[in-house]
Amino acid sequence: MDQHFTMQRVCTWAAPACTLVFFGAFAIAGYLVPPSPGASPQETADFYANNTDTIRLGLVLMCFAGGLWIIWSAQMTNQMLRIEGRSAPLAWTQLAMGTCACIEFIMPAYFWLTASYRERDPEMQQMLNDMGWLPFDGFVWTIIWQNAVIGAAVLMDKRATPLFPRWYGYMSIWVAFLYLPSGFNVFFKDGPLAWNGAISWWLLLASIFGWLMVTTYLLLQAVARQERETAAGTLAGDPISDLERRVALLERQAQAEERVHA
Amino acid sequence: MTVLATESLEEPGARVSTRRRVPGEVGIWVLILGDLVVFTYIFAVFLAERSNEPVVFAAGSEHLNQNYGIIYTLILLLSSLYVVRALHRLRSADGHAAARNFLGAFACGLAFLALKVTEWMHEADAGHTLTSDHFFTFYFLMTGLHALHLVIGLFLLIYLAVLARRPAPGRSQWILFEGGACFWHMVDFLWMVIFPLLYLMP
Repeated sequence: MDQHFTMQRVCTWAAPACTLVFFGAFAIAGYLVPPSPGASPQETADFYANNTDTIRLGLVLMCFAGGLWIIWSAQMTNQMLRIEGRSAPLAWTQLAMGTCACIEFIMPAYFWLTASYRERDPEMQQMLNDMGWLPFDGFVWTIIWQNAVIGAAVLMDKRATPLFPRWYGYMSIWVAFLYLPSGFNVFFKDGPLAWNGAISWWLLLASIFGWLMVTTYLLLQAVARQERETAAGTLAGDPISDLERRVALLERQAQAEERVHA
Repeated sequence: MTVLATESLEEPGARVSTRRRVPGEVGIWVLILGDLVVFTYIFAVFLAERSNEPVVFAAGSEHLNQNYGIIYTLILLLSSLYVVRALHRLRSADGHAAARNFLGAFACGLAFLALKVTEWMHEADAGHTLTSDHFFTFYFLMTGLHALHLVIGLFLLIYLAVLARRPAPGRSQWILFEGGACFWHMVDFLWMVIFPLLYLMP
């Protein structure tokens, strides 16, 4: 059975690509350091009026990061299926959560792009700006579960040498907690929990992308190990390949019996 | 921390291993050290904000009841002592005594939580909330996050008490005992830093 190692690796590299695209695009748009929630409507309107081209370009590019997020999530589900087998609630939850996370990148971008599209009343520009920033930080409601189910699956792995190291399971669950405070940015116009705050923005960024880099590395390790074991014929404990091995064994036994009776 | 040095994975009667070994397992330490790093970051942000608004922060700190703070500290120290005793009893294969000690720690933790909630309600009544000023944002954030860890620790302690009563704990149970104990000590340790930062700084 072809395990598609090359394509697995390609899909894993979507994660660093997502990171690069996100940071690069946001830097172009001038969004890496968020504006303060306390900025006046006029200041907000001026920001969109004075930086229209870079905002549009940067944010359109940033939308690519949304799609890339789904691609690496699918590869994660692919590996999680090797832990859970045919009955895989966690693997499928992970995929669904990763897919929804894409919205988190793209919808806010379109609110901001709408603000950059025409000159408007400053109050309306402020509203569009708010509509983007509040969910951009605050939309943690899928990534917390994405992390949690990955962590749970890693810790549930019954192999002698687990597919992912156990510390990664703990880490994933722990990082989910780090995302949580950002969800409460609606309560604040300033301070560490506001959308531009040390916790809601900077800790969130560091957590997501730091964890993503660790995840990339471990996914690549898992694929490499899968490739080695397939070549050596020692791919053990994979629920689906176990099934194939048993079928192959039964086929050999059936053929041996045929020869005996022939 | 000499407490950690003596907590080892030797089951009674087992040969002493000369390989370097981590209490619990590596994963727990990623979690604990990671948590400590993040809390350090939050403390640093707190101190930076404090230097920006010394008057607000000093006023907030004065307003808090230092006696409460001392009581909290003593309660948590006692709870950590119970946890140490529990692990001791486990090593002497006295599961029931260990369970009692875990429950003692649980009781202390529960007392801490009850007092904490009372203090929060008292502050809210006085008009201090998460959004009233920057000091109280940090106050509720730091004590809230700490309380979240404490609550997780409480569930853990109950589970460890139940586990301790079962006979012949194996390796994976020991990982839970040691890892859980270390997690609880971390909860205690975090309070040791939060208390002076919030309650004692002039």
